[in-house]
Amino acid sequence: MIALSLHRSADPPSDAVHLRALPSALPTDAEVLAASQDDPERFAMLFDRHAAAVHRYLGRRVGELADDLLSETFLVAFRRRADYRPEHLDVRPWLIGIATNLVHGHARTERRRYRLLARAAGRPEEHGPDPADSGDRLDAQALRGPLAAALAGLKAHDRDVLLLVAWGDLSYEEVAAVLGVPVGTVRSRLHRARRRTRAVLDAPTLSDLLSDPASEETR
Amino acid sequence: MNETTLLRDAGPEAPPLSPAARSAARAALLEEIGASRTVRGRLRAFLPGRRLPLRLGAAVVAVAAAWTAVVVAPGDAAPGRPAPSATAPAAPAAPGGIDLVAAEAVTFPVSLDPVPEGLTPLYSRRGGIAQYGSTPPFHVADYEPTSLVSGAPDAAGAGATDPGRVLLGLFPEDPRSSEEYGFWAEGDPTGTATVDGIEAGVWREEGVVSLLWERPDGQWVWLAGEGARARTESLVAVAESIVDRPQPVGLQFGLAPAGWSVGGYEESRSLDLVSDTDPALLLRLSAVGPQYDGTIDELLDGLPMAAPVETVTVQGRPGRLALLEGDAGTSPFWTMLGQLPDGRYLRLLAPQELTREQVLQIGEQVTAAS
Repeated sequence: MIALSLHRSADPPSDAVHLRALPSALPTDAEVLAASQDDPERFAMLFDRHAAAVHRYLGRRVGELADDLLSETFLVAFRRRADYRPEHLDVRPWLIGIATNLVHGHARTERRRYRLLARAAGRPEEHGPDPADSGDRLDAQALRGPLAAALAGLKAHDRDVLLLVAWGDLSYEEVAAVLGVPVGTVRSRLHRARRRTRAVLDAPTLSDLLSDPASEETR
Repeated sequence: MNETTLLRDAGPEAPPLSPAARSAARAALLEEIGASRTVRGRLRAFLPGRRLPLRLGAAVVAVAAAWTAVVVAPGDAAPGRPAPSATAPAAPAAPGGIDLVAAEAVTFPVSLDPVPEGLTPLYSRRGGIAQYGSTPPFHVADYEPTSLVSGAPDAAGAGATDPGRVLLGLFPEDPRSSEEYGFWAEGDPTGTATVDGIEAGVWREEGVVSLLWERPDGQWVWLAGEGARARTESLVAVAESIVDRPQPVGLQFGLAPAGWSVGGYEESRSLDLVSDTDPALLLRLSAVGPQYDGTIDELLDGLPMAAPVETVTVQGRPGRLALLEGDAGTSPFWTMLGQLPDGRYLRLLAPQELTREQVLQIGEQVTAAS
Protein backbone atom coordinates (compact mmCIF):
# COMPACT_ATOMS: atom_id res chain seq x y z
CA MET A 1 0.00 0.00 0.00
CA ILE A 2 2.77 2.37 0.82
CA ALA A 3 4.47 1.67 -2.45
CA LEU A 4 1.25 2.34 -4.33
CA SER A 5 0.80 5.61 -2.52
CA LEU A 6 4.34 6.74 -3.34
CA HIS A 7 3.85 5.80 -6.92
CA ARG A 8 0.73 7.86 -7.16
CA SER A 9 2.40 10.83 -5.53
CA ALA A 10 5.07 10.69 -8.21
CA ASP A 11 2.58 11.28 -10.97
CA PRO A 12 3.06 14.52 -12.87
CA PRO A 13 1.21 17.40 -11.28
CA SER A 14 -2.01 18.28 -12.98
CA ASP A 15 -0.75 21.67 -14.14
CA ALA A 16 2.13 20.16 -16.11
CA VAL A 17 0.04 20.49 -19.25
CA HIS A 18 -0.13 24.23 -18.76
CA LEU A 19 3.62 24.47 -18.19
CA ARG A 20 4.29 22.62 -21.41
CA ALA A 21 1.87 24.84 -23.19
CA LEU A 22 3.70 28.03 -22.29
CA PRO A 23 6.46 27.96 -24.90
CA SER A 24 4.03 27.21 -27.68
CA ALA A 25 2.04 30.23 -26.65
CA LEU A 26 4.70 32.28 -28.39
CA PRO A 27 4.12 32.61 -32.11
CA THR A 28 6.52 30.70 -34.30
CA ASP A 29 8.85 32.54 -36.63
CA ALA A 30 6.69 31.59 -39.56
CA GLU A 31 3.61 32.89 -37.79
CA VAL A 32 5.35 36.15 -36.98
CA LEU A 33 6.44 36.54 -40.54
CA ALA A 34 2.98 35.76 -41.84
CA ALA A 35 1.45 38.25 -39.43
CA SER A 36 3.93 40.90 -40.59
CA GLN A 37 2.33 40.88 -44.03
CA ASP A 38 -0.60 42.83 -42.62
CA ASP A 39 1.08 44.18 -39.50
CA PRO A 40 4.66 45.07 -40.55
CA GLU A 41 5.71 46.06 -37.02
CA ARG A 42 5.55 42.40 -36.07
CA PHE A 43 8.62 41.81 -38.21
CA ALA A 44 10.82 43.46 -35.60
CA MET A 45 10.30 40.40 -33.42
CA LEU A 46 12.31 38.36 -35.93
CA PHE A 47 15.16 40.81 -35.56
CA ASP A 48 15.04 40.41 -31.80
CA ARG A 49 15.11 36.65 -32.11
CA HIS A 50 17.77 36.21 -34.76
CA ALA A 51 19.97 39.30 -34.97
CA ALA A 52 22.66 37.81 -32.75
CA ALA A 53 22.88 34.56 -34.72
CA VAL A 54 22.91 36.32 -38.08
CA HIS A 55 25.55 38.77 -36.88
CA ARG A 56 27.70 35.96 -35.52
CA TYR A 57 27.58 34.18 -38.87
CA LEU A 58 28.35 37.37 -40.77
CA GLY A 59 31.06 38.40 -38.34
CA ARG A 60 32.98 35.20 -38.81
CA ARG A 61 32.89 35.74 -42.57
CA VAL A 62 33.43 39.49 -42.97
CA GLY A 63 34.51 40.79 -39.58
CA GLU A 64 33.47 44.34 -38.72
CA LEU A 65 31.46 44.64 -41.91
CA ALA A 66 28.94 42.39 -40.21
CA ASP A 67 27.36 45.40 -38.53
CA ASP A 68 26.32 46.83 -41.89
CA LEU A 69 25.37 43.51 -43.44
CA LEU A 70 23.25 42.60 -40.43
CA SER A 71 21.18 45.68 -41.05
CA GLU A 72 20.98 44.98 -44.77
CA THR A 73 19.97 41.38 -44.15
CA PHE A 74 16.90 42.36 -42.20
CA LEU A 75 15.99 45.15 -44.61
CA VAL A 76 16.13 42.71 -47.51
CA ALA A 77 14.23 40.09 -45.54
CA PHE A 78 11.52 42.58 -44.66
CA ARG A 79 11.10 43.67 -48.27
CA ARG A 80 10.97 40.08 -49.46
CA ARG A 81 8.81 38.70 -46.70
CA ALA A 82 5.97 38.09 -49.13
CA ASP A 83 8.23 35.64 -51.00
CA TYR A 84 8.92 33.54 -47.93
CA ARG A 85 7.59 29.98 -48.12
CA PRO A 86 7.52 28.26 -44.74
CA GLU A 87 7.09 24.85 -46.32
CA HIS A 88 10.54 25.21 -47.91
CA LEU A 89 12.63 26.67 -45.15
CA ASP A 90 12.54 27.88 -41.57
CA VAL A 91 13.02 31.58 -40.99
CA ARG A 92 16.50 31.39 -39.44
CA PRO A 93 18.12 29.58 -42.40
CA TRP A 94 16.20 31.88 -44.72
CA LEU A 95 17.82 34.87 -43.00
CA ILE A 96 21.24 33.19 -43.09
CA GLY A 97 20.72 32.63 -46.81
CA ILE A 98 20.01 36.31 -47.37
CA ALA A 99 23.09 37.17 -45.35
CA THR A 100 25.13 34.79 -47.50
CA ASN A 101 23.99 36.51 -50.68
CA LEU A 102 25.03 39.84 -49.23
CA VAL A 103 28.47 38.45 -48.38
CA HIS A 104 28.90 37.64 -52.07
CA GLY A 105 28.95 41.35 -52.78
CA HIS A 106 31.94 41.67 -50.49
CA ALA A 107 33.89 38.61 -51.58
CA ARG A 108 37.18 40.44 -51.74
CA THR A 109 36.70 41.75 -48.23
CA GLU A 110 36.01 38.24 -47.02
CA ARG A 111 39.06 36.72 -48.68
CA ARG A 112 41.27 39.55 -47.52
CA ARG A 113 40.09 39.00 -43.97
CA TYR A 114 41.03 35.33 -44.11
CA ARG A 115 44.43 36.11 -45.61
CA LEU A 116 45.18 38.69 -42.96
CA LEU A 117 44.11 36.31 -40.23
CA ALA A 118 46.31 33.59 -41.68
CA ARG A 119 49.30 35.88 -41.78
CA ALA A 120 48.63 37.24 -38.33
CA ALA A 121 48.56 33.72 -36.99
CA GLY A 122 51.88 33.08 -38.70
CA ARG A 123 53.66 35.83 -36.80
CA PRO A 124 55.47 34.94 -33.60
CA GLU A 125 53.48 35.63 -30.46
CA GLU A 126 54.65 38.58 -28.43
CA HIS A 127 54.28 36.51 -25.33
CA GLY A 128 54.82 32.84 -24.89
CA PRO A 129 51.88 30.53 -24.42
CA ASP A 130 50.14 30.74 -21.10
CA PRO A 131 50.89 27.57 -19.15
CA ALA A 132 47.34 27.70 -17.91
CA ASP A 133 46.04 27.23 -21.43
CA SER A 134 44.74 23.77 -22.05
CA GLY A 135 46.17 21.58 -24.75
CA ASP A 136 42.96 21.79 -26.73
CA ARG A 137 43.06 25.56 -26.63
CA LEU A 138 46.64 25.63 -27.84
CA ASP A 139 45.79 23.17 -30.59
CA ALA A 140 42.91 25.38 -31.68
CA GLN A 141 45.15 28.43 -31.69
CA ALA A 142 47.68 26.62 -33.83
CA LEU A 143 44.98 25.86 -36.37
CA ARG A 144 43.58 29.36 -36.67
CA GLY A 145 46.06 30.42 -39.31
CA PRO A 146 45.79 27.29 -41.44
CA LEU A 147 42.01 27.38 -41.25
CA ALA A 148 41.88 31.00 -42.34
CA ALA A 149 44.29 30.25 -45.18
CA ALA A 150 42.15 27.33 -46.23
CA LEU A 151 39.01 29.47 -46.30
CA ALA A 152 40.76 32.09 -48.41
CA GLY A 153 41.62 29.43 -50.94
CA LEU A 154 38.20 27.87 -51.37
CA LYS A 155 36.02 28.60 -54.33
CA ALA A 156 33.14 30.82 -53.40
CA HIS A 157 30.39 28.25 -53.84
CA ASP A 158 32.35 25.59 -51.98
CA ARG A 159 33.05 28.01 -49.15
CA ASP A 160 29.37 28.92 -48.95
CA VAL A 161 28.38 25.32 -48.40
CA LEU A 162 31.07 24.67 -45.83
CA LEU A 163 30.33 27.80 -43.82
CA LEU A 164 26.56 27.48 -44.01
CA VAL A 165 26.99 24.07 -42.39
CA ALA A 166 29.77 24.98 -39.96
CA TRP A 167 28.81 28.50 -38.91
CA GLY A 168 25.21 28.78 -40.03
CA ASP A 169 24.28 25.41 -38.49
CA LEU A 170 22.18 24.62 -41.53
CA SER A 171 21.35 21.05 -42.54
CA TYR A 172 22.27 19.84 -46.01
CA GLU A 173 18.64 20.20 -47.04
CA GLU A 174 18.53 23.77 -45.75
CA VAL A 175 21.76 24.63 -47.56
CA ALA A 176 20.28 23.19 -50.74
CA ALA A 177 17.17 25.33 -50.33
CA VAL A 178 19.17 28.46 -49.54
CA LEU A 179 21.50 28.07 -52.51
CA GLY A 180 18.89 26.68 -54.88
CA VAL A 181 20.89 23.54 -55.72
CA PRO A 182 20.16 19.83 -55.22
CA VAL A 183 21.19 18.17 -51.98
CA GLY A 184 23.64 16.02 -53.91
CA THR A 185 25.39 19.14 -55.14
CA VAL A 186 25.65 20.33 -51.56
CA ARG A 187 27.31 17.08 -50.60
CA SER A 188 29.76 17.17 -53.49
CA ARG A 189 30.67 20.80 -52.84
CA LEU A 190 31.10 20.02 -49.18
CA HIS A 191 33.33 17.12 -50.10
CA ARG A 192 35.51 19.35 -52.22
CA ALA A 193 35.65 22.09 -49.59
CA ARG A 194 36.60 19.60 -46.90
CA ARG A 195 39.22 17.98 -49.09
CA ARG A 196 40.84 21.27 -49.88
CA THR A 197 40.63 22.40 -46.29
CA ARG A 198 42.24 19.17 -45.17
CA ALA A 199 44.96 19.60 -47.78
CA VAL A 200 45.86 22.98 -46.33
CA LEU A 201 45.69 21.76 -42.75
CA ASP A 202 48.06 18.95 -43.65
CA ALA A 203 50.61 21.33 -45.17
CA PRO A 204 54.01 21.06 -43.52
CA THR A 205 54.24 24.58 -42.16
CA LEU A 206 52.13 27.62 -41.84
CA SER A 207 54.54 29.48 -44.04
CA ASP A 208 53.60 27.21 -46.89
CA LEU A 209 50.01 28.22 -46.50
CA LEU A 210 50.85 31.81 -47.15
CA SER A 211 51.83 30.90 -50.66
CA ASP A 212 48.65 29.03 -51.41
CA PRO A 213 47.81 30.31 -54.86
CA ALA A 214 44.13 29.90 -54.29
CA SER A 215 44.27 32.58 -51.66
CA GLU A 216 45.03 35.09 -54.38
CA GLU A 217 42.17 34.12 -56.60
CA THR A 218 39.18 36.31 -56.94
CA ARG A 219 36.49 33.90 -57.90
CA MET B 1 37.84 16.11 -35.40
CA ASN B 2 36.40 16.90 -38.83
CA GLU B 3 36.73 20.16 -40.71
CA THR B 4 33.29 21.40 -39.71
CA THR B 5 34.04 21.02 -36.02
CA LEU B 6 37.45 22.59 -36.49
CA LEU B 7 35.89 25.60 -38.15
CA ARG B 8 33.49 26.02 -35.27
CA ASP B 9 36.19 25.68 -32.64
CA ALA B 10 39.20 27.28 -34.28
CA GLY B 11 37.85 29.27 -37.22
CA PRO B 12 37.91 33.05 -37.31
CA GLU B 13 35.90 34.58 -34.51
CA ALA B 14 33.11 37.08 -35.07
CA PRO B 15 33.48 40.51 -33.55
CA PRO B 16 30.87 41.06 -30.83
CA LEU B 17 27.59 42.68 -31.76
CA SER B 18 27.80 45.94 -29.90
CA PRO B 19 24.67 47.45 -28.39
CA ALA B 20 25.18 50.47 -30.63
CA ALA B 21 25.37 48.41 -33.82
CA ARG B 22 22.38 46.36 -32.78
CA SER B 23 20.37 49.46 -32.01
CA ALA B 24 21.36 51.07 -35.31
CA ALA B 25 20.34 47.99 -37.28
CA ARG B 26 17.07 47.71 -35.43
CA ALA B 27 16.36 51.40 -35.92
CA ALA B 28 17.03 51.08 -39.66
CA LEU B 29 14.60 48.18 -39.80
CA LEU B 30 11.94 50.10 -37.90
CA GLU B 31 12.40 53.04 -40.23
CA GLU B 32 11.92 50.71 -43.18
CA ILE B 33 8.85 49.21 -41.57
CA GLY B 34 7.43 52.66 -40.93
CA ALA B 35 8.16 53.78 -44.47
CA SER B 36 6.45 50.69 -45.86
CA ARG B 37 3.18 52.08 -44.63
CA THR B 38 3.47 54.94 -47.07
CA VAL B 39 3.10 54.72 -50.85
CA ARG B 40 6.50 56.33 -51.23
CA GLY B 41 8.02 53.82 -48.89
CA ARG B 42 6.53 50.88 -50.74
CA LEU B 43 7.96 52.24 -53.98
CA ARG B 44 11.32 52.83 -52.39
CA ALA B 45 11.57 49.23 -51.38
CA PHE B 46 11.63 48.23 -55.02
CA LEU B 47 14.13 50.83 -56.19
CA PRO B 48 17.46 49.28 -57.07
CA GLY B 49 20.67 50.29 -55.44
CA ARG B 50 19.29 51.56 -52.20
CA ARG B 51 21.78 50.68 -49.56
CA LEU B 52 22.64 51.76 -46.11
CA PRO B 53 25.61 54.06 -45.89
CA LEU B 54 28.34 51.56 -45.16
CA ARG B 55 31.02 52.09 -42.61
CA LEU B 56 33.29 49.96 -44.74
CA GLY B 57 35.75 52.78 -45.16
CA ALA B 58 36.34 52.98 -41.46
CA ALA B 59 36.69 49.23 -41.18
CA VAL B 60 39.28 49.11 -43.93
CA VAL B 61 41.24 51.91 -42.32
CA ALA B 62 41.21 50.03 -39.03
CA VAL B 63 42.47 46.86 -40.63
CA ALA B 64 45.09 48.70 -42.61
CA ALA B 65 46.36 50.44 -39.51
CA ALA B 66 46.68 47.16 -37.72
CA TRP B 67 48.83 45.84 -40.52
CA THR B 68 51.01 48.83 -41.16
CA ALA B 69 53.77 47.38 -39.04
CA VAL B 70 54.15 44.23 -41.07
CA VAL B 71 53.40 45.27 -44.63
CA VAL B 72 56.49 45.34 -46.79
CA ALA B 73 56.25 48.23 -49.17
CA PRO B 74 57.68 47.91 -52.67
CA GLY B 75 60.27 50.41 -51.63
CA ASP B 76 61.77 47.77 -49.38
CA ALA B 77 63.19 46.14 -52.48
CA ALA B 78 66.78 46.99 -53.18
CA PRO B 79 66.58 49.14 -56.31
CA GLY B 80 70.30 49.72 -56.44
CA ARG B 81 71.24 46.08 -56.48
CA PRO B 82 71.94 44.47 -59.83
CA ALA B 83 69.34 41.93 -60.86
CA PRO B 84 71.02 38.55 -60.55
CA SER B 85 71.08 36.46 -63.64
CA ALA B 86 69.43 33.07 -63.40
CA THR B 87 70.71 31.85 -66.72
CA ALA B 88 74.06 30.51 -65.58
CA PRO B 89 74.57 26.78 -65.55
CA ALA B 90 73.59 24.96 -62.40
CA ALA B 91 75.98 25.94 -59.66
CA PRO B 92 77.89 23.10 -58.06
CA ALA B 93 76.56 22.32 -54.65
CA ALA B 94 78.58 23.35 -51.68
CA PRO B 95 80.27 20.46 -49.89
CA GLY B 96 77.48 18.53 -48.26
CA GLY B 97 74.94 20.61 -50.17
CA ILE B 98 72.18 19.66 -52.58
CA ASP B 99 72.80 19.01 -56.27
CA LEU B 100 70.30 20.03 -58.91
CA VAL B 101 69.41 17.62 -61.66
CA ALA B 102 67.02 17.59 -64.61
CA ALA B 103 63.51 16.80 -63.39
CA GLU B 104 61.23 14.19 -64.88
CA ALA B 105 57.74 15.25 -65.86
CA VAL B 106 55.15 14.82 -63.12
CA THR B 107 52.08 13.04 -64.42
CA PHE B 108 48.56 12.07 -63.41
CA PRO B 109 48.22 8.32 -64.00
CA VAL B 110 45.05 8.11 -66.11
CA SER B 111 43.08 10.17 -68.60
CA LEU B 112 39.54 10.50 -69.86
CA ASP B 113 39.47 10.10 -73.63
CA PRO B 114 37.68 12.11 -74.77
CA VAL B 115 37.64 14.79 -72.11
CA PRO B 116 33.97 15.55 -71.40
CA GLU B 117 32.89 18.56 -73.41
CA GLY B 118 33.11 21.86 -71.61
CA LEU B 119 35.16 20.46 -68.72
CA THR B 120 38.83 20.85 -67.79
CA PRO B 121 40.64 18.56 -65.34
CA LEU B 122 42.34 19.74 -62.19
CA TYR B 123 44.73 17.13 -60.86
CA SER B 124 45.50 16.33 -57.23
CA ARG B 125 47.71 13.76 -55.54
CA ARG B 126 47.38 13.19 -51.82
CA GLY B 127 48.51 10.75 -49.18
CA GLY B 128 51.76 8.88 -49.14
CA ILE B 129 53.70 10.82 -46.53
CA ALA B 130 52.71 12.13 -43.15
CA GLN B 131 52.18 15.70 -44.29
CA TYR B 132 49.62 14.56 -46.82
CA GLY B 133 47.54 12.25 -44.70
CA SER B 134 47.80 8.74 -43.39
CA THR B 135 46.61 6.87 -46.49
CA PRO B 136 48.73 5.51 -49.31
CA PRO B 137 49.02 7.92 -52.26
CA PHE B 138 45.83 8.46 -54.22
CA HIS B 139 44.83 10.65 -57.15
CA VAL B 140 41.79 12.78 -57.89
CA ALA B 141 40.94 14.57 -61.14
CA ASP B 142 38.22 17.16 -60.77
CA TYR B 143 36.74 17.95 -64.17
CA GLU B 144 35.19 21.36 -63.75
CA PRO B 145 33.61 23.79 -66.21
CA THR B 146 36.38 25.23 -68.34
CA SER B 147 35.13 28.76 -67.81
CA LEU B 148 35.48 28.27 -64.07
CA VAL B 149 38.99 26.87 -64.33
CA SER B 150 40.31 29.49 -66.73
CA GLY B 151 38.59 32.37 -65.04
CA ALA B 152 37.46 33.57 -68.46
CA PRO B 153 33.82 34.33 -69.21
CA ASP B 154 32.03 31.46 -70.86
CA ALA B 155 32.41 31.98 -74.59
CA ALA B 156 28.91 30.68 -75.12
CA GLY B 157 27.51 33.34 -72.84
CA ALA B 158 25.64 33.30 -69.59
CA GLY B 159 22.78 31.37 -71.12
CA ALA B 160 24.98 28.43 -72.05
CA THR B 161 24.13 25.02 -70.67
CA ASP B 162 25.93 24.13 -67.47
CA PRO B 163 28.37 21.36 -68.44
CA GLY B 164 28.17 19.84 -64.97
CA ARG B 165 31.16 18.29 -63.25
CA VAL B 166 32.92 14.93 -63.16
CA LEU B 167 35.09 13.74 -60.29
CA LEU B 168 37.50 10.87 -60.94
CA GLY B 169 39.29 9.26 -58.01
CA LEU B 170 41.89 6.50 -58.27
CA PHE B 171 42.68 4.70 -55.01
CA PRO B 172 45.00 1.88 -53.97
CA GLU B 173 42.20 0.37 -51.87
CA ASP B 174 38.46 0.68 -51.30
CA PRO B 175 37.98 4.41 -50.60
CA ARG B 176 35.31 3.57 -48.07
CA SER B 177 38.13 2.33 -45.82
CA SER B 178 39.23 5.83 -44.76
CA GLU B 179 37.49 9.18 -44.47
CA GLU B 180 40.63 10.79 -45.85
CA TYR B 181 39.74 9.49 -49.27
CA GLY B 182 36.67 11.69 -49.15
CA PHE B 183 34.20 9.21 -50.63
CA TRP B 184 30.92 10.83 -49.75
CA ALA B 185 28.25 8.33 -50.76
CA GLU B 186 26.77 6.65 -47.70
CA GLY B 187 25.32 3.25 -47.09
CA ASP B 188 24.92 0.49 -49.59
CA PRO B 189 24.75 1.17 -53.32
CA THR B 190 21.32 2.00 -54.61
CA GLY B 191 21.98 -0.02 -57.74
CA THR B 192 24.63 -1.51 -59.98
CA ALA B 193 26.05 -0.86 -63.42
CA THR B 194 28.60 -2.54 -65.65
CA VAL B 195 31.85 -0.78 -66.55
CA ASP B 196 34.05 -2.63 -69.03
CA GLY B 197 32.44 -5.87 -67.90
CA ILE B 198 32.99 -5.16 -64.20
CA GLU B 199 30.14 -4.61 -61.80
CA ALA B 200 30.17 -1.17 -60.24
CA GLY B 201 28.16 0.07 -57.30
CA VAL B 202 25.87 2.99 -58.10
CA TRP B 203 24.77 5.63 -55.62
CA ARG B 204 22.06 7.93 -56.93
CA GLU B 205 21.37 11.11 -55.02
CA GLU B 206 19.57 14.23 -56.02
CA GLY B 207 21.94 16.04 -58.35
CA VAL B 208 24.82 13.54 -58.11
CA VAL B 209 25.49 9.99 -59.23
CA SER B 210 28.52 7.99 -58.06
CA LEU B 211 30.06 4.83 -59.47
CA LEU B 212 32.60 2.73 -57.57
CA TRP B 213 34.40 -0.35 -58.83
CA GLU B 214 37.63 -2.28 -58.47
CA ARG B 215 39.84 -2.58 -61.52
CA PRO B 216 41.57 -5.83 -62.41
CA ASP B 217 44.88 -4.32 -61.22
CA GLY B 218 43.42 -3.88 -57.72
CA GLN B 219 42.96 -0.11 -57.90
CA TRP B 220 39.57 1.33 -57.07
CA VAL B 221 37.87 3.96 -59.18
CA TRP B 222 35.29 6.41 -57.97
CA LEU B 223 33.52 8.40 -60.65
CA ALA B 224 30.95 11.00 -59.69
CA GLY B 225 28.83 13.06 -62.04
CA GLU B 226 27.16 16.25 -60.95
CA GLY B 227 24.48 18.37 -62.58
CA ALA B 228 24.27 17.59 -66.28
CA ARG B 229 26.57 14.59 -65.71
CA ALA B 230 24.40 13.03 -63.03
CA ARG B 231 22.96 10.30 -65.21
CA THR B 232 24.04 6.70 -64.78
CA GLU B 233 24.10 5.86 -68.48
CA SER B 234 26.27 8.81 -69.49
CA LEU B 235 28.49 8.34 -66.46
CA VAL B 236 29.12 4.71 -67.42
CA ALA B 237 30.19 5.98 -70.84
CA VAL B 238 32.63 8.33 -69.12
CA ALA B 239 33.84 5.45 -66.95
CA GLU B 240 34.58 3.38 -70.03
CA SER B 241 36.58 6.25 -71.51
CA ILE B 242 39.22 6.00 -68.76
CA VAL B 243 42.57 5.06 -70.29
CA ASP B 244 45.90 4.31 -68.61
CA ARG B 245 47.61 7.20 -70.32
CA PRO B 246 49.49 9.47 -67.91
CA GLN B 247 48.87 13.17 -68.33
CA PRO B 248 51.43 15.83 -67.38
CA VAL B 249 50.15 18.02 -64.58
CA GLY B 250 49.99 21.74 -65.23
CA LEU B 251 53.06 22.73 -63.23
CA GLN B 252 56.49 21.26 -63.87
CA PHE B 253 60.01 21.64 -62.58
CA GLY B 254 62.81 21.64 -65.12
CA LEU B 255 65.47 21.38 -62.44
CA ALA B 256 64.99 19.67 -59.10
CA PRO B 257 67.13 18.70 -56.13
CA ALA B 258 68.71 15.29 -56.57
CA GLY B 259 67.05 12.67 -54.41
CA TRP B 260 63.75 14.52 -54.06
CA SER B 261 60.39 13.12 -55.14
CA VAL B 262 56.86 14.32 -55.71
CA GLY B 263 55.17 14.92 -52.37
CA GLY B 264 51.84 15.86 -53.82
CA TYR B 265 49.99 18.33 -55.97
CA GLU B 266 46.70 20.10 -55.51
CA GLU B 267 44.18 20.94 -58.20
CA SER B 268 46.92 21.66 -60.75
CA ARG B 269 47.81 24.81 -58.83
CA SER B 270 50.66 23.71 -56.65
CA LEU B 271 53.30 21.02 -56.89
CA ASP B 272 55.44 19.87 -54.00
CA LEU B 273 58.75 18.05 -54.06
CA VAL B 274 60.08 16.62 -50.82
CA SER B 275 63.44 15.23 -49.87
CA ASP B 276 63.54 11.45 -49.82
CA THR B 277 65.76 11.54 -46.75
CA ASP B 278 64.01 14.36 -44.90
CA PRO B 279 60.36 14.81 -45.89
CA ALA B 280 60.26 18.02 -43.87
CA LEU B 281 62.34 19.65 -46.62
CA LEU B 282 59.86 20.88 -49.17
CA LEU B 283 60.03 22.70 -52.48
CA ARG B 284 56.69 24.11 -53.55
CA LEU B 285 55.82 25.63 -56.90
CA SER B 286 52.48 27.36 -57.23
CA ALA B 287 50.71 29.44 -59.83
CA VAL B 288 48.53 32.34 -58.82
CA GLY B 289 44.98 32.22 -60.12
CA PRO B 290 44.27 33.88 -63.46
CA GLN B 291 41.85 36.32 -61.91
CA TYR B 292 44.35 37.75 -59.48
CA ASP B 293 44.58 41.43 -60.31
CA GLY B 294 47.12 42.57 -57.75
CA THR B 295 50.78 43.39 -58.25
CA ILE B 296 53.77 41.15 -57.73
CA ASP B 297 54.70 43.09 -54.60
CA GLU B 298 51.25 42.65 -53.14
CA LEU B 299 51.95 38.94 -53.12
CA LEU B 300 54.51 39.69 -50.44
CA ASP B 301 52.20 41.87 -48.38
CA GLY B 302 52.24 41.03 -44.73
CA LEU B 303 54.89 38.33 -44.94
CA PRO B 304 57.59 38.53 -42.28
CA MET B 305 60.91 39.22 -44.00
CA ALA B 306 64.22 37.93 -42.73
CA ALA B 307 66.10 40.05 -45.28
CA PRO B 308 65.27 42.83 -47.73
CA VAL B 309 63.38 41.83 -50.87
CA GLU B 310 65.54 41.60 -53.99
CA THR B 311 64.41 42.52 -57.45
CA VAL B 312 65.53 39.74 -59.76
CA THR B 313 64.97 38.57 -63.31
CA VAL B 314 63.09 35.32 -63.77
CA GLN B 315 62.57 33.95 -67.26
CA GLY B 316 63.32 37.38 -68.66
CA ARG B 317 60.72 39.17 -66.60
CA PRO B 318 60.90 41.09 -63.32
CA GLY B 319 60.69 38.92 -60.25
CA ARG B 320 61.27 39.06 -56.53
CA LEU B 321 63.40 36.99 -54.22
CA ALA B 322 62.95 37.16 -50.48
CA LEU B 323 64.03 35.31 -47.41
CA LEU B 324 61.04 34.88 -45.12
CA GLU B 325 60.99 34.24 -41.43
CA GLY B 326 60.13 30.64 -40.70
CA ASP B 327 57.44 29.50 -38.35
CA ALA B 328 58.33 29.35 -34.68
CA GLY B 329 61.34 27.09 -34.24
CA THR B 330 62.02 26.76 -37.97
CA SER B 331 64.60 28.33 -40.23
CA PRO B 332 63.95 31.14 -42.70
CA PHE B 333 63.05 30.00 -46.20
CA TRP B 334 63.17 31.40 -49.70
CA THR B 335 60.24 32.67 -51.68
CA MET B 336 60.71 33.63 -55.29
CA LEU B 337 58.08 35.33 -57.42
CA GLY B 338 58.09 35.41 -61.18
CA GLN B 339 55.68 35.96 -64.02
CA LEU B 340 54.63 33.47 -66.65
CA PRO B 341 54.30 34.36 -70.34
CA ASP B 342 50.51 34.35 -69.96
CA GLY B 343 50.73 36.99 -67.25
CA ARG B 344 50.06 34.81 -64.24
CA TYR B 345 52.46 34.91 -61.34
CA LEU B 346 54.29 31.91 -60.02
CA ARG B 347 55.75 31.42 -56.61
CA LEU B 348 58.50 29.13 -55.46
CA LEU B 349 59.10 28.22 -51.84
CA ALA B 350 62.37 26.60 -50.96
CA PRO B 351 64.30 25.73 -47.82
CA GLN B 352 67.54 27.48 -46.99
CA GLU B 353 69.33 24.23 -47.67
CA LEU B 354 69.17 25.43 -51.27
CA THR B 355 71.39 28.36 -52.12
CA ARG B 356 70.08 31.65 -53.48
CA GLU B 357 71.55 30.81 -56.89
CA GLN B 358 69.94 27.38 -56.90
CA VAL B 359 66.53 28.87 -56.13
CA LEU B 360 66.90 31.22 -59.08
CA GLN B 361 68.05 28.42 -61.33
CA ILE B 362 65.05 26.30 -60.40
CA GLY B 363 62.74 29.25 -60.95
CA GLU B 364 64.24 29.86 -64.36
CA GLN B 365 63.13 26.44 -65.58
CA VAL B 366 59.70 25.94 -64.09
CA THR B 367 56.76 25.84 -66.47
CA ALA B 368 52.99 26.16 -66.10
CA ALA B 369 50.39 25.19 -68.67
CA SER B 370 47.91 27.93 -69.51
